[in-house]
Amino acid sequence: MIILRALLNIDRRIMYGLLCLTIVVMLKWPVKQPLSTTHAVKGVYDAVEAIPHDKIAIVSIVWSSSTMAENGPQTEAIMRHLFKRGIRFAILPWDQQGATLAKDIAEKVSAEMGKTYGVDWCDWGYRPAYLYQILPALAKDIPATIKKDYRGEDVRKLPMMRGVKTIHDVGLVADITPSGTLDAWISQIQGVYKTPIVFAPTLVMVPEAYNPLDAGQIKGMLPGLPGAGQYEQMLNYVGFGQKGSGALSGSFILIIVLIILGNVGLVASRRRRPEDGGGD
Amino acid sequence: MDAFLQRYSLQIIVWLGALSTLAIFSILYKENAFYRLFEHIFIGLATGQGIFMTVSQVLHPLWWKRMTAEGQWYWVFAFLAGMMFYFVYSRKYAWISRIIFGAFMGFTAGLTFKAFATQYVPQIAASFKPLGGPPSSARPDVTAMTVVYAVSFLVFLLPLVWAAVLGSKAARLKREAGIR
Repeated sequence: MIILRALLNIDRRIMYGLLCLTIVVMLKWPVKQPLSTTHAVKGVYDAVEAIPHDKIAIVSIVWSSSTMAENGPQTEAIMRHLFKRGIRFAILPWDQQGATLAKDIAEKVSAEMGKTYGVDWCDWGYRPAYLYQILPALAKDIPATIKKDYRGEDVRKLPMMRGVKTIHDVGLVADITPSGTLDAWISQIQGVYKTPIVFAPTLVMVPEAYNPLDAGQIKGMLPGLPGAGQYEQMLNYVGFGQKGSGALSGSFILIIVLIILGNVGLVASRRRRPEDGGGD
Repeated sequence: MDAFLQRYSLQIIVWLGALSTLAIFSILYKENAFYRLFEHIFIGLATGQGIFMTVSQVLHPLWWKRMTAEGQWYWVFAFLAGMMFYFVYSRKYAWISRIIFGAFMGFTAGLTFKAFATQYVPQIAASFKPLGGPPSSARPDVTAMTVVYAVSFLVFLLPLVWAAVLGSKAARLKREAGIR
């Protein structure tokens, strides 16, 4: 009876402590988790593989430090794939924090892979997230809409921007976001100009993306951290996506165990005879 | 000092980050001054960075510089349009704010109309799936889910139709019997 009572009254601080411990242990000593590649993740890979070399990609950044654990590895994986294929890309940040964080990731990956700013990639600099207002103008004239990169240099003068005029010179848009920005990209860009879009949302946003995915409006999706892990596996490197997926699974298992324990305690306490003080 | 910062900046950043994270998560234990202090630091940092990024990457290069150094004086109208919003606080001149609000509502309505056509119509079209099964190249899970949706919808709809039919029959019988 004491055990049952204890199961029903586990202090939330103990549960938080266990959760913290699970995540720390599984991040420190990652367990290799078999990740099967889903149709949605393969769609992203295929979309990047299909970009013609004369076109650029746009990496749209809407995330900030609060969702960096999920959106950071997604950003890194997509950038690595673009660099690997030799596709030039531009970062288009819609968040002040994300602008700095995504640039840091691009600088780290470009240094590792021997790529040069302005030639292989560039950063168009932070723009306020008025996507519905900015995207129609961007589609018609990219240099006139963007004008300057994050360093204040004219984007027309960047070598990678030579020949890039309209959205027809863009082979892919990767929308990496914890917000509802996909609607703007679909309605203002994909729906009008048929520019391929891939989507990298946080895990909680995944269900709502299946409609555009099934309708072919987005070519693929990286569902949160596991999506990044699957993509890393396809690119043959181990990043935070794979390491973090193990920790995520561990924390989910712990939560399931705690729910089971709580329910076992509740059911057992109801079955106790009234003279033992059981029942409702 | 520069040499010290160059050598240890990464370590300092990592330790500060770890300390800040622990401070924020300490709320899970209980409300405490340590958490409050770092909560305010975080809010201040985010606000400060937001203002800096907006001024340095948007307002200065794309508005102020163009207006003052590149001769595009007409950008002053953006400032005037922005200021019109603030007349909402004046009872006497609130009509000025209504002009700019109306203009923005008009823009948004137009964009929403376009968005419906380009975003939702293809999704509605894609939702019409053959019950008999797709070509072998299509995804099997989509067809299976479509069948499940269709059956669920029928199970949901049939009792409603049945209730509506019974309701109308009862109403007719009442009318015929002269019962109010």
